Amino acid sequence: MTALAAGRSSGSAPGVRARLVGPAALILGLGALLAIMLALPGQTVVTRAVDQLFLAYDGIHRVLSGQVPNRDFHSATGPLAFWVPAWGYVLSGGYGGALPTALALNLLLVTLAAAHVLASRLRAGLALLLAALLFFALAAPMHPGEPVSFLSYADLPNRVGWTATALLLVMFAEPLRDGRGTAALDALVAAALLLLAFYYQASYAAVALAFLLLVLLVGPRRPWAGAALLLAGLAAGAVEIAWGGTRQYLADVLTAFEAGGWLRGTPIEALRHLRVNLTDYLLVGLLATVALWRGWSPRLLLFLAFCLVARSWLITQNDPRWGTLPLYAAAAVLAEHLLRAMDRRRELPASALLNPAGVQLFFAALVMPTVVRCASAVMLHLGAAVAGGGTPLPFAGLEGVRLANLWTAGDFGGSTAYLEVVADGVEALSDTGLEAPRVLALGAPNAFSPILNLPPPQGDMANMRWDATLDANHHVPAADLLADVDVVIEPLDAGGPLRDFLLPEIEASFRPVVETEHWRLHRRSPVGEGTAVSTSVGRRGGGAE
Amino acid sequence: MRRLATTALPVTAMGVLCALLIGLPARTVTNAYVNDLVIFLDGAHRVVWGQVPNVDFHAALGPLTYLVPAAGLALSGQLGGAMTVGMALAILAVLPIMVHVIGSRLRPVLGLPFAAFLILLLAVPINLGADLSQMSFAMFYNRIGWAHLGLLLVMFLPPLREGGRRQLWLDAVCAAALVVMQCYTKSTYGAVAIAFVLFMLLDRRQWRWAALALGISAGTAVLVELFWRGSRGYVSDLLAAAQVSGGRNLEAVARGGLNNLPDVVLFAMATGLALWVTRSARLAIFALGCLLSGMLILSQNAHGWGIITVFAGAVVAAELAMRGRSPDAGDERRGRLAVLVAGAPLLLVALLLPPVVRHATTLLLHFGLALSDFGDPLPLPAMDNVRHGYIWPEEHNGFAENYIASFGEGAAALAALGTPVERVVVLDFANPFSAGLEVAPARGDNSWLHWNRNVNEGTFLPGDEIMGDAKFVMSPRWGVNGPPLFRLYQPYLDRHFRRVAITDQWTIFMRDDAPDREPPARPDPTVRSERRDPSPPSARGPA
Repeated sequence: MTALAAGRSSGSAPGVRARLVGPAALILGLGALLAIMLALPGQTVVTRAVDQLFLAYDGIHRVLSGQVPNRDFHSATGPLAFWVPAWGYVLSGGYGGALPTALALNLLLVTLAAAHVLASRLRAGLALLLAALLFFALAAPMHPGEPVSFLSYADLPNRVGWTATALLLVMFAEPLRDGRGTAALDALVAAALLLLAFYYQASYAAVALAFLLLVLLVGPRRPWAGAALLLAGLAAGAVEIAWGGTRQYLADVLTAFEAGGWLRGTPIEALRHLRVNLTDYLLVGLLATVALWRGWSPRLLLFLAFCLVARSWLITQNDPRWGTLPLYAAAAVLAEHLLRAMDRRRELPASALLNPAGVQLFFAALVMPTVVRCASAVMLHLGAAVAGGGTPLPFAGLEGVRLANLWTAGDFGGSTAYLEVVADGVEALSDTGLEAPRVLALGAPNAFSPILNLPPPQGDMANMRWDATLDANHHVPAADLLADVDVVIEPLDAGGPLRDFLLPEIEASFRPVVETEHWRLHRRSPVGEGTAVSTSVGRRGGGAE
Repeated sequence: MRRLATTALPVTAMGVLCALLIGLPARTVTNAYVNDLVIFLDGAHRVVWGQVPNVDFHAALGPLTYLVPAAGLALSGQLGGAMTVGMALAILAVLPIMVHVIGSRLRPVLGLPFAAFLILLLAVPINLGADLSQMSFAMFYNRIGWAHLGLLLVMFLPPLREGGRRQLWLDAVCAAALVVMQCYTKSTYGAVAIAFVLFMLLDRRQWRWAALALGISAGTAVLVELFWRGSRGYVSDLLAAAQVSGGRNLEAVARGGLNNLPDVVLFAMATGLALWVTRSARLAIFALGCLLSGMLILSQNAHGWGIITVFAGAVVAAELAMRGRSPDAGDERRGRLAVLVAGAPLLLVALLLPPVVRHATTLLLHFGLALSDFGDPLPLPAMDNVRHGYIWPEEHNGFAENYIASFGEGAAALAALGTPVERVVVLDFANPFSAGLEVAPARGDNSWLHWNRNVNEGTFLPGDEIMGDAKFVMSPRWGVNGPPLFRLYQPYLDRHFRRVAITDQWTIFMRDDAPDREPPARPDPTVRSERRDPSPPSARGPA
């Protein structure tokens, strides 16, 4: 808060220095502190969305088994969504610490970028508030806008994507001062954010790319945007040499776009979204009106339009609950613009309603509810992790992952029932007597490969979702997806188009062998031997001969 | 005079405008909670027919909850105006108090937005926190209670100027009026209001009006009781409701706070600013009281958003922060933060703007739809100006449609009986027929039977009391909570009533106390095809 007052006395060199170094150091400190709070307990506590955990653990397990994302298996999310959790596993030494540490790693990356972007573009008060917002939103194991006790680790790509997009949007504001190093750092940070978005989830990268082009076109003397594009292109080339998955990744992303639709959502849905998020739109709308009234700028108007359109598109493509972050980022740019306009005309008498202190408090009022909510979730998770709250998952290797009931009895009951279903499947798979079958779980996250430490199949798809990552017209052939699979485990209550899509291939090459209360297991019939199944693979299902 | 121009005129103008917007069309448009609306239409009808709440019929809601729609019905002459004109009158009634309290205590930059917020709270036809297109008058008493309590809490602030005796008496009368209205609207608000005035007794500068207000309130209560004689009935009805559903655990209270976290955070920001500037322990206690009492009240209400005491607390804090902003504080740190105090009005705008816009939108929507021919009239002769219609396709609600359609079916079946229809008791949530057919209401029954809210197997009024005066008893096949009530009162019905008609939705019983009457055919709402009853056939009953 002292920096707020200091911001008003710009001019002297020490003042400027304090204004830039102070916030940057504070931002770095906050990010580091949060990262430590996440990673240190080495425990994962959730109250819901346990199946999403297994989705992530399946990804970690694939990487640890030596698979390379988008080369050894299909995925519409980028390789970082697999590598970073895997690094989290390696660093923390188990599944319990894997996701919190992965989140902490992401947070550190974003912190480095934020320290430059926010401190160079926004006055201290705004910079610290927005940093707190982005960091807590990223660090909180929950969705913004949901109750604090809804702890979950779902949607890592969305968290990072929205945060990176929001941070990048702030770069539209002109730097507080033109330093020599600023442009170079700008290019570096912008390229890093673009790549981060791209290697997590391509839709965010599309928006980031469009934004950099916008800056390049309408921003006066903004060579950093061009340099960032160039840098990002070079870096992507280098990554491709080492990784070799870019082409397949883009193909998977394209399939997902075509399956899910490039443009989604209906006008009714848009109106509903507007009604649900009316508070944010109203407050940012008021800020935009005042900012444009006090300092008219067609560029700013264009920026706003871009933010709204890009955000709406991202919301239809991805989890809408995170969509407020770019709106808040745009609000920070607006507030900074307005404050600078006020600074320029400081000779005017301060109005009782509209004054610099009010603008900063208004921005604080906009972001603080989310900050407090997310901070509460971080503290709740930390407390539960340290205090050993919740029940460990009943599987070897997953003792550090705990399901807690924090006034979430409904979710707790549902998750407990889900875990029993998983245990039933695990038992059925163990009973098949197969050495190390390659398992595909039909229409459900593959909890079995990580729990039983089975070799993951080659060429299948992580997180198969109908109408999102594939559909009837856009997909990898079912035979290819199942080519390396030994056992298909099918939940009995599942139906729907995904099952219909895979079923002909399953019936052609597999035979049902076991049916438990919740699952049906299909085993591959030996190739080329017709009905004469006599190999060891067929022994247990041999009754059909 | 300047104060008059800056506060009184705009507040009055806003109040009159909002009263006109809600009341002028004298037509009720709703797309949610029709069954709640029926309670109030029935209540208005009862009062207009001379019944006295808690004396002539049971009611766990305060008498004002019935008098407001009754005044609306009396003034407009139609059920469509019961709620709408009633709320317009409620706004106009509180307007002078609002002008005095806000004008004497808040600077215009804070007072005007807060006045707009309170007036719209009263005017908007919505259950607080519902989507802005969900128009209803359900739980309108909560909006009255919150608005009155919010206004009363502003009196924590000492007047901007010392006003002498005139100010003292106006303060006392305004506070007393707010306390009394809250007590007779819904008891939870009344309890908090009285606690607040007691707290003000401890204020060195303001204890006089608080003491006077308590005296006036007590005197008013005695006077009211002399004429009304319903206090005892009111309290026992309240106790019955409390016995059935009064318990609230910590989780419910905390969840209410968490659901309103954005408002609470902004309230905390304003309060923190004020505490930093004033270092006032009394303010800290007041703020804590605002938060806790609001969470407690909310835990007793059926709406998710809207701890209005927190809004009042934030306004009070902002005003105190701005008053306490003196550059000669001597404390350097305090002086620096004090720069922010100038921004308090915009902080309040951030807090108040969203609900103000939301509610204004709904109010205008209701106004427009009431003027147009939107919606279908509820299918009873007197309810032509009570309209039900959907705005969004997603709202379609089979339950509500069936519920509304059952009114027409029941009325037709009653008409087909061939005897004058009067004194109808409905064994369900509420009674649409007395008001909708404009017939004499029964006495002694309950205007609101909400299973597991104010009635259950363990706590219920004897059948003799509920149905003692009834000529007809109507039991819905489903209704809102028809079946459990029917099971509860079936023995009484068997003894004193005769089943005279069965339709798809209703079983109609008529009083038959003939002592030599043979044992009644046991009515079974699930078996509709057998008709052993020699009664006249119903209009639309199955063959």
